[in-house]
Amino acid sequence: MLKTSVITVTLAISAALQTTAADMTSDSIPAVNLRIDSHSSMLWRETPLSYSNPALKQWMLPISYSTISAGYHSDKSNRPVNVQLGSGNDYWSAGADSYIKHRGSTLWGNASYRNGHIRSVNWNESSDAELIYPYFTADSVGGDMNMESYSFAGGYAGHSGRWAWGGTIGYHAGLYYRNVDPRPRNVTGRLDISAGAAIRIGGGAYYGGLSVNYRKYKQTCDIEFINEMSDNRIWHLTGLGTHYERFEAKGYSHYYDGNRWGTSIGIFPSTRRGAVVSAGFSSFRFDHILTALNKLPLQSARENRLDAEAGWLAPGKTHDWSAMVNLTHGKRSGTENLFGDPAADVFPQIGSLDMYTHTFTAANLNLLWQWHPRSGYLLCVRPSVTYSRSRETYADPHRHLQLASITPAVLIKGALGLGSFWRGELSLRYAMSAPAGCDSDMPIDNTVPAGMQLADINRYDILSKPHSTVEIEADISRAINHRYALMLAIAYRHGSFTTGIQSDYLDISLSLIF
Amino acid sequence: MKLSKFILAAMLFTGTAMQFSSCSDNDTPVVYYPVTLSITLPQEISEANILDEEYAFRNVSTNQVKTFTDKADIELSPGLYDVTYTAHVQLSNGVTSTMRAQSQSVQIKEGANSITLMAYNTIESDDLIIAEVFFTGTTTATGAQHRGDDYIKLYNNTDHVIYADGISIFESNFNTTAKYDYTPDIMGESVAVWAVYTVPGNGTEYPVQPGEYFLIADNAYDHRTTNELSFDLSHAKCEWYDESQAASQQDVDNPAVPNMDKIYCYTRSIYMLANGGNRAVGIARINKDAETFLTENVYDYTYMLVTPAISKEMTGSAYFIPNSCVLDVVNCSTETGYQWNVTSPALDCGWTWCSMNNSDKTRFFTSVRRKMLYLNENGNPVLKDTNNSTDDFNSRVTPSEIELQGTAINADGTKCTTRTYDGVTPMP
Repeated sequence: MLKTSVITVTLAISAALQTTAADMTSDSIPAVNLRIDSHSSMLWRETPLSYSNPALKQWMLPISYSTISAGYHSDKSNRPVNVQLGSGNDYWSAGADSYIKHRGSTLWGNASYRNGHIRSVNWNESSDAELIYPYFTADSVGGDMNMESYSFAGGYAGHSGRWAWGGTIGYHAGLYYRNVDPRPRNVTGRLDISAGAAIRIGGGAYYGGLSVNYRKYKQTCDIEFINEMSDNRIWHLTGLGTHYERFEAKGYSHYYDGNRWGTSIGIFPSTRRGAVVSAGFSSFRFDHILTALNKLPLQSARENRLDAEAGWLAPGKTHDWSAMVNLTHGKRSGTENLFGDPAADVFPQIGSLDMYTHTFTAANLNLLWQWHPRSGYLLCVRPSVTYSRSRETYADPHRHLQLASITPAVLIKGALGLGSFWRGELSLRYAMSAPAGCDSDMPIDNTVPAGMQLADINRYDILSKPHSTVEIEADISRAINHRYALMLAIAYRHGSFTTGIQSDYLDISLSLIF
Repeated sequence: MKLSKFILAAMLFTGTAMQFSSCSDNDTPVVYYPVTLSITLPQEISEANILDEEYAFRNVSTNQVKTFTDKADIELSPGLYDVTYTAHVQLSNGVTSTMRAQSQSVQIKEGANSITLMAYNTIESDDLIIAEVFFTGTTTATGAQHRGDDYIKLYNNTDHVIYADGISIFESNFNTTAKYDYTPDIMGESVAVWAVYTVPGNGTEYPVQPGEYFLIADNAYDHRTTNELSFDLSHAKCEWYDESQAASQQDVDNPAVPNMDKIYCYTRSIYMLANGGNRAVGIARINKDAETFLTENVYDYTYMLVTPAISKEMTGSAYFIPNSCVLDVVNCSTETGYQWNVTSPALDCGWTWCSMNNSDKTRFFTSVRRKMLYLNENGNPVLKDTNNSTDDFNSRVTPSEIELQGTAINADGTKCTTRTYDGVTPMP
């Protein structure tokens, strides 16, 4: 895959260079730079929920914009904030991303490949933690994990008369494994399909949109220990430092099987100027099943989630304004199934109990001002403040963990055209997160391995104290001709926690833009 | 469509979605259901005065234990529980005794629940007790299992001499890691066994002094001659010996150490303690000769074998030893595979282990040893004996013979440098 990507990029660059002399005049700004200017605008990034309706995505950008890129990413902290997610990752990647306008239609698509490592994952041998929490399968050793992932997605949107429509389909596959004990091998698959429609309302000034989406998720996991003399037990976690004692050291083969459906509704200004209101609801449910015990349905979880955004967009000739409020609220409920005495490893299910709950809320206010006096010039200031609250509880024995914070942040971004061909961009962002109502009750249980309990206790200790992030991004691009440009982008972020954790994030990419 | 209607629709949508995603973050309420517990007292102490009682419920799924001292207070969340009842009673003659009842895999459902337990007066014997069972054995340097260095160590926990003559060691017929409903169920009265060997003697040949151990070995010879990582068992008081009918598996006999009288063994080759540790090991005074025992103590049973593919009635045959003859018993299992006790709670309310699972290769060189409470005025250990192996035994500890002889504690040949009374409490 890497080889293919390198050849593709090389061929594209050489083809572009061959046409440079013929296509360009020295004193005109290449069209590709104008498209980069348009893509660089912050305004279209302010309403992601609206654009999750494929029918409305055709108004995301007024231009076509495609990239082929390759890059390297590294994210590392001296101590993990959450050991179950690891202390960072590093990978190289190659991919293509395209958004193409063609007459009344818009097509988009992307394909990407990543290959790298996740660092120091402990007390979790499952993958896609954000999807299947809190039902991880864990061992006490953990370690770095190799990862490979592929994703493909495509979409189409069109409009005619009062109506607009669109649809997307995407697939993401991942392979996660380790070549030393413990040896997990997790294969993940995620299929996403969505379709939407919109109709002109309000005398044609707005589109009213409705979309539906569906996700099929599956993760199959196998854990193997080659060294028979090692401690090779595994635990099936049930959240907040608890585990399913009865199935300790059982179920080395297991899988997660989930489905999500969702719908959204919203209004969007047909001129991109005016009020934006959008709300989306989704419901995700998955089962955790132990293959090794005759497909024993150990646990299941359901997450209902509401996302909403509302605000005002005011693009102008040289100044753009926007004010947006975003809201996320959701609840994940975990259910543990109860089983009677087994006969030949067949456990009859005798009941179920709702034991784990995670309620989360985030409210965010963003203000945006952009100044773009002429092509190639952009100055953008985006202050924001976010309130977030997350409360996890486990019913019996009772324990809870509540994290809440207020995070003011500011982003300043500038872009500058350097002659006709060169273009540079620099952005700085600073965020300071202050606790606002954290609380926990996590008593130590001596019958449960200490490390298993400390994962959440330490996470609380770190996140319940102030932390800050400073981020700098710089990119420079050069037009090769009117159609093509090369861009080198570097992003660096430093996170600092009062508990002494320092994290560093670096992302470098080289892209061919067309 | 009017914009106002669309906004109204969007608001209704949001409101409905908020309902689904539940705006409140109320903690998951735990619903407890009342449990009515009835104890059927044994006839001989039905008139006894109950001094105190305790009801313990172990949640099989989570291993959480909830205890109550008043049965009117018992409320539990739904699930599968192991129930243990313990009471101290004063008999009409003034003697105090411990009474126990136990039931495993009791299902608590939503609504009212009722449980009836049959209580047993704990069988106390003024006799030897099991101090240690070394069933895992050792390995060679290549990791291959060495044969025959398993042993059982008895102990005189009393203040007077006890004669080991006539004491039988036995191993249960049923498996603590595979539970079946055997019919008829004789567990309340007897232990089903598949191996019984008896210490020979005329009644006074094998005195065991207070604070003295009595070592019974599988093969009582110096195992270091065949496996440098093993130890010397030639000082054992007696050994069990089998005249094997399998030419390739012959037992080793040390003529200098008396052989036990073989009452019965399930195998026609050579017998070793179940080295995974998934059976109960006990001692008894049967007070019958082998012929009478084999005639009068036959136990034929049936059970249902249920698999995903079939459900079939199975039959089996073993011998039984009445609980009243049993002196001591320890239920052994694997840490993660335990399913049930194969003896009456009157004999043992708990279990202990060496192996983490059925295929645990780290179990070798470990044993289960009875905990020491204190040293008495004579400097002898007083061992804990509450008829609950979970409380009474230290699991997966270094065997006493390895400690005493300073031999290997693993296949790497690492020498043991510690000495303890019970695998945990260090000797001065």
